[in-house]
Amino acid sequence: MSRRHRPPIVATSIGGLAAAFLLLPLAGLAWRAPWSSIVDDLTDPAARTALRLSLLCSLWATFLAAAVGLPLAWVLARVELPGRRLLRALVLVPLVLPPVVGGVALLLAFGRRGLVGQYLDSWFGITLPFTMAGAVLAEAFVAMPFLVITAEAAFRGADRRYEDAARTLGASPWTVFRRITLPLTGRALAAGGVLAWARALGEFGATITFAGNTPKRTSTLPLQVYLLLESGHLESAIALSMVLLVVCVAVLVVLRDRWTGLP
Amino acid sequence: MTGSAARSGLDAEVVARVGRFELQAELQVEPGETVAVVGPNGAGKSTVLRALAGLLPIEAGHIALDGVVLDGGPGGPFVPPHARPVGVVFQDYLLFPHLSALDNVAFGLRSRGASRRTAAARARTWLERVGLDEHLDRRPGELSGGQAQRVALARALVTEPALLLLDEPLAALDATTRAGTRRELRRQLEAYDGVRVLVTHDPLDAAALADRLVVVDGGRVAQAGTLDELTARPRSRYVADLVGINLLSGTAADGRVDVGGLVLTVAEPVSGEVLVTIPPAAVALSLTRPAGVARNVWPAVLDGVERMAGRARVQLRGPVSIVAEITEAAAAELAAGDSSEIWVAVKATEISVFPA
Repeated sequence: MSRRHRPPIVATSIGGLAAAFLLLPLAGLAWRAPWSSIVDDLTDPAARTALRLSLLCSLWATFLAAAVGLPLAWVLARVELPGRRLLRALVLVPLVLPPVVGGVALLLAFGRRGLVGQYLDSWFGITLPFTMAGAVLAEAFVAMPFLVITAEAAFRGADRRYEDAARTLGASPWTVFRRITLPLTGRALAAGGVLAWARALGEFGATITFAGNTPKRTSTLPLQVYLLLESGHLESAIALSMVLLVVCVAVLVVLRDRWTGLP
Repeated sequence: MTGSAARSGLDAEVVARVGRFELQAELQVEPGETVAVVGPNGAGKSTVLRALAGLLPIEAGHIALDGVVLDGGPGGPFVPPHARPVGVVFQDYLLFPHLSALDNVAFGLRSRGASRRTAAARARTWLERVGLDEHLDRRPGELSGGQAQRVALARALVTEPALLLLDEPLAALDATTRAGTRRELRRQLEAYDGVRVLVTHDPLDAAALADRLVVVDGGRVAQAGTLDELTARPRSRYVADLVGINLLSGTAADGRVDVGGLVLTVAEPVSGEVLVTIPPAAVALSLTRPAGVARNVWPAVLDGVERMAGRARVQLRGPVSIVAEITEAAAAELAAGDSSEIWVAVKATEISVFPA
């Protein structure tokens, strides 16, 4: 092999180390997984409740994020607003904010004595913290930026000329969005939704801070894993962790075209 | 509104700005008339169409269609694009890639409130009219260029607009598809009785499809008129070079074209119905019958002379009317001599022939 084509040894070795560092913990998880009793661990009533609750909360959170996040993404992509750049930056804050801090912030906004929460409580009798709705809210808070940035890029990148064509054919702005923009950006929006859902499913910090860890109401999978570890049920914790790992790998497979750029 | 105002056609004075480019153009078109806006790329042609369609609000002036003001400029009335009785055939057609041919054509009807069944039935009728009844379920990606053009035309016409706008409708096609599609487009345009505005950079398409031409240059109208007027009396070098061509139509066979009373020898092997173009500068004139090798020689009568920047455009009557561009000195010689008979000569290689 000519010198020109030899792989650079130093970079390749360090890269290999980094890859091992990322993959070894997952291998450890698989190695210690209680394969013989995994069915029992996962069908245990507490585990099943946590699974069902996780699924329910994450789907609701994704729905909530889409319902308000898509219009927000559209505005960020298409409407000339003063302060739009600032708004875009603020929307991304939950992406980098430690989730625990997000939970505290949610408490201060929607807690019983919070900025908004006090009126929710005194006017409508609605209490969010330490309820399932609170868990949904916490998950939506951390998951929505993933949907918004994906959707904004899609709306920005969509060929506006098709929308112009639809307008000249008598389509109102809403019809243009529904029949042209949405179908043409559908794949990207779905990817953003899957991404947001995966993030919501794995949410821990904001949920435990804002919604607490109450079995059957707010004990989602990650919280249940933590609870099991704390109480010494290592094997059950690993079994539930495997579920989350499998979901993550599945999401990666679904989105592989978008990220790896390979067919 | 009076009866005549209801069909008064298009009256537009468009002043628009795109970035640093400013456009100012006037346009009057009667119902049943086709006007071609001609100019090179970047001359402001598409901006005119976007303003007429309502996709670009004008900065000053007005756009009125059949007596209704669609855009009165800033502070005036503005009818949004989806409420205008306008159909557009876009450059590259812009068929919706996720919808079938049938759904593309039905889109305008559905948007305007037609039921699914009514819209589908009328879309089907239109696709049959343009000869695509076997391709109803095809997606745009599965259609050829000529087929896509016909779907785009059906989509624009199915809502029966009062104004039809066509943006470079033939530019996306290769030479072989082009002639057939142009002939078909001409037939469809004649069957449609609204106002037709066509934008093109190709003078041949403009000449073949339009009744009148509006030549734009750098955001301004350089000259407007019929092709014959523009060829005989171009007001600028720009207009002369862009559209000032002799255009004849005839029937070709065996390297010869019969253009009505005159048979031209041409270099290109074509047959059937054709369009023939002869650049005025390629037309040679003399007072005696030329003895040279030019195959196409015929006698003509002087009909008028236009002087323009050191050149003269000489109009000649004969078996066919033709314009020659010669030097002013040569024109003076012709005028001094016995001009009752002038000999016209054109080399076969100077004649371009296109399938009509």
